[in-house]
Amino acid sequence: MRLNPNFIKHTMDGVTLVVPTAEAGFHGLVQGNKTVGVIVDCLENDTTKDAIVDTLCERFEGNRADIEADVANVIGRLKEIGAIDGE
Amino acid sequence: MNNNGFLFDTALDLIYLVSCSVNKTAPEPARVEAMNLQNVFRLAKKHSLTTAAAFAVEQAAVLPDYFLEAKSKAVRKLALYDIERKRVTDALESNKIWYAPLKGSVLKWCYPKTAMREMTDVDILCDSSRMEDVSKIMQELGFSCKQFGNGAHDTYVKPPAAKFDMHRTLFAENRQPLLSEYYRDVKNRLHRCENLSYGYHMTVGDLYIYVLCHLYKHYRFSGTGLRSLLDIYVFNKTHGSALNSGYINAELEKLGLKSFEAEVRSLAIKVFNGKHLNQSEKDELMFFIESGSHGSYKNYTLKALQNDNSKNRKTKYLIKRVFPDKETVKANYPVVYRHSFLYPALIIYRPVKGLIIHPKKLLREFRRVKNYKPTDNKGR
Repeated sequence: MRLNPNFIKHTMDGVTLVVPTAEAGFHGLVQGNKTVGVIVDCLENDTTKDAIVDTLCERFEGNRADIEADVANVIGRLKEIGAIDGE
Repeated sequence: MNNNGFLFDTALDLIYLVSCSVNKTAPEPARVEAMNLQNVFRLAKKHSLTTAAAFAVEQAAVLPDYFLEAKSKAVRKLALYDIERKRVTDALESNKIWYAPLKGSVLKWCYPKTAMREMTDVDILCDSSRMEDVSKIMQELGFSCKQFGNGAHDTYVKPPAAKFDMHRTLFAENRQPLLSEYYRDVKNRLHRCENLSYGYHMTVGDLYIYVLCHLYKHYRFSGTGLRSLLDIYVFNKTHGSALNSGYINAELEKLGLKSFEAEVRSLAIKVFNGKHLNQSEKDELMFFIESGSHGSYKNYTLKALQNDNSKNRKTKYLIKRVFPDKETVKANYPVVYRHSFLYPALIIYRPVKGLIIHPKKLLREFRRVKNYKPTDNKGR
């Protein structure tokens, strides 16, 4: 899976934003912390949920199960708005 | 309480909120709770201060849905502007066209969060000899050209909401001849940005002078809103100690803006520090409040009447509205300016168009002129 090209990652005032362009069906805004930023960075290339979790485990302290849940939550939100292509 | 009193009180609430945001202080929850946030929101929108106000509200209370939605929309717009601006300036670099971002693109860095500084468009000054190339670049990037070759800038738009004004000059000669002359060789006032070959910027002092000139340009005609006053405040707050007042005063003296700058700066500092205002300062503040981000037609009319409510002045004003002068035609109807035989058709077209599209606006203007009294105007 990867980020749909109609959504662009942008950082403003230290906050990660996932910004829909005019072609996206969604016209809101997704914003999040550094964790969201790393997840979206991973999604800029074709990747898997497990690979994203591995990356986060390397970068941040925390229980793998908790990190998996966070990743699943973020991916779920992005899928809901059509920001992710593939599985 | 008359309408003006009500508006002023709502504005004071808005000013309180944005002051908290830019001064990085937490608003008092009790004061926020006592506000009519719907009214504050409406006024904030009029002055492009929604995000600046929202950042303060959410520190003291739950941000209402309408406020949250508007803030989200504004932040999205700003993000899209950042993304498009990078694409445009990268393309200008590749094509070896010098450029300098202006106004909001630069001023936003004075704010504690760049998202507090809303923008309705992006302004970029470019090499005036390369505007055809700039047009080609913008269209290759997916923009449509809305206006080319008329006035100080060319306008490009791109869905969902991007509007770029690509400037060939900072001020149009026919509208602001003194400012246009001052900035005739503007590139000499610019410095190349580090790590860029064609990107330029102004010094802090020259940027301040430009911001002030731009504010005055709008203030002089249809007025300008609270965001402009806030820009002056945050600029001084951020750069005040670095500003070479000797240089700035000398340049403002050349432009006849030295006392204007002193008055606006003093007002801005008092307003956004919650200081007591005398009656004259309150009147001045009210002018900004009533103007909105881009001025108001009411203020345009008042300034045109120049504190003179004689029948002669009013008649002259109305005649000029029906029969626009050469400078107005040149600025707004370039085709008619080039083909003067079309002027009689323009005389008929303008009022007919107005009566069809916005008859109530025309009626309001007529009534405003008819009922005008000099006390409505602060004499600027």
